[in-house]
Amino acid sequence: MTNPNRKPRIALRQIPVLLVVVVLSFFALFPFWSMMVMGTYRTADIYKEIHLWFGDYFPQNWARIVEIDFFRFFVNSIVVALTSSLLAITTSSMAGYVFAKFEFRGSRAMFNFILATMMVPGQLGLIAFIILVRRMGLISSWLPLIIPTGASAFGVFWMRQYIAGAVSGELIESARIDGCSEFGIFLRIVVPMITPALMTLGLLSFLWSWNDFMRPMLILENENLFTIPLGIKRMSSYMRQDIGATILGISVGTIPILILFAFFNNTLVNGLTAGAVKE
Amino acid sequence: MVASQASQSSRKGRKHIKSTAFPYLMTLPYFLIYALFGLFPIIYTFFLSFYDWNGVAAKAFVGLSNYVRLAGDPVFWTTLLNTLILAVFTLPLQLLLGFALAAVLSGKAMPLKKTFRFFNFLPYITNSVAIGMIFSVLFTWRGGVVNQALRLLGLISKDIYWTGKPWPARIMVAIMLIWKNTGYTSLFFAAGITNINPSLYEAAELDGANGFQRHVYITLPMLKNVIRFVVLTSSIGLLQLFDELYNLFSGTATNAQVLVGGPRNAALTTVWYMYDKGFGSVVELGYASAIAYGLFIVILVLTVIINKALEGRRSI
Repeated sequence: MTNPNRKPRIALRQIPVLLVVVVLSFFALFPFWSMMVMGTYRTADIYKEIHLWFGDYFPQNWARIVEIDFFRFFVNSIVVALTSSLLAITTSSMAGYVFAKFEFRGSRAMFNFILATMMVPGQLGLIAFIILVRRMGLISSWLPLIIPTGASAFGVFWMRQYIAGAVSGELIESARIDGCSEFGIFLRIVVPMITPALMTLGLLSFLWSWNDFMRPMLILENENLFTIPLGIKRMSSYMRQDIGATILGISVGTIPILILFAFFNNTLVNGLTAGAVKE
Repeated sequence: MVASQASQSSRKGRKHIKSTAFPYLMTLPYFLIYALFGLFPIIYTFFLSFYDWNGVAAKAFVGLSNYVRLAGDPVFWTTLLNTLILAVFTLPLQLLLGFALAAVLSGKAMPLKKTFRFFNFLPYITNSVAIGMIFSVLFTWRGGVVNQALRLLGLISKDIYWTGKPWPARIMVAIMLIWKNTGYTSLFFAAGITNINPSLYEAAELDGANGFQRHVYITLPMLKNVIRFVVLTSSIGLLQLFDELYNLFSGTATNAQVLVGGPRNAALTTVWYMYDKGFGSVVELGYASAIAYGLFIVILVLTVIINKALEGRRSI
């Protein structure tokens, strides 16, 4: 008697709950949808009415962004973000490993120091950082964007925690007895065991580097080196009167990477909640 | 010494003790990079904050006068007030919606959980230039989607000049921030909810509590730490907000140079002010450095206040 009554009641109860999710998701997605739609209209038509569906001006707008060679910004961003994340996972896993598995003079003080640097706001040294980069003649080079990601306090902390739990000391000890070199142990035994953590950290570093705006804006003067955010900015000042093409450019610079992130949904979620300490 | 080392090693489990160069070499890349690009700029910025320097002429030592100027600078206090106003506008809704989303998505019968979760934190991982520009298009004065929609709904008869008037500008920024951060905030609530002992819910269910009551009386009190964390990190984030605002007020629509700080500085944040003094039209690197350290002090004080304020509530 109770069972047949139960089912519809639960389904009814689900409706307000589903409504919350759908409304919030609509709110979250609408600007993206609007962006994709507006990029297919002629500039003069964009502000005429609310566009909810695609227009027919896509080919012309597309031709405009091909003309200004928007796609090189894409290639630049991929190179910068990939090397940044490779560097971050390399230095972080090296340091994280020894903090997890070795006791050496000063190890605790060193690790506490790294933790303390996480409390310092990221912009504290910005003024002198830019002066330093200019003095070193690194203006218009990717190096000052890439190299600093090799000092990720969050990365070291993250790798240390992961390695402490995932890599057994006995395994390292037996490899040592077999005559494996210390660095060989790290490379051939530890690294293969920590690939999930490397993936998470790599993905986060990629994301942070990809979205970086203020530093690249202050550092990169040569337009050929511009990353996506700067490219979008530059494009919009080039095509000041052509808002349709600009919006299409923003879509092209934004949507593909978001689709890529969709495949790493879970890794990203875990990383973002852990990585919150970084910001 | 040997004995204490041995006992320590057994206590810590499997740590290896050997005095070789290896562990130092492994941490060297990190420390070298940090020393050059992290620590040195922080120290040199502190040094610069005692000088008057436009980046070209010789530096002139001015003692504490940059800090004295900062303490009496109405624009600096405006940036703090702006942050406070933005926090009041955004945090309650961001927390409420983030919590609602997490609570709803934690339901056992919820379909497509991961897809909805992804949709909602998509804004957080989108680059800030795109966000700023798209919002400036959506909030365009004449013919923007927002004004048109408000007209259609009969809520306004005259277009709102979002990017040109202080209070509309603040509301626009608040909407953008809530849009950007709600899904991200919900991730922390979701993590907190999974940590709650399920037997609490079972007991409440036996006592006849419905789903809404279970969340209000069990989930919410258990999530005080999450709330404190979100309030603290969001407030610090608001003080340092730059990218989105810079692009919002120089977006495709305004068709002009960046309007520093938005209309009548209504959207000027502390970091934006620092940026403008350091790299804007009139370069004052010493004063910009003092702003950086002023911000640092504000963040330290804020951290203590928020921890104290929300700690007290937690003990009740």
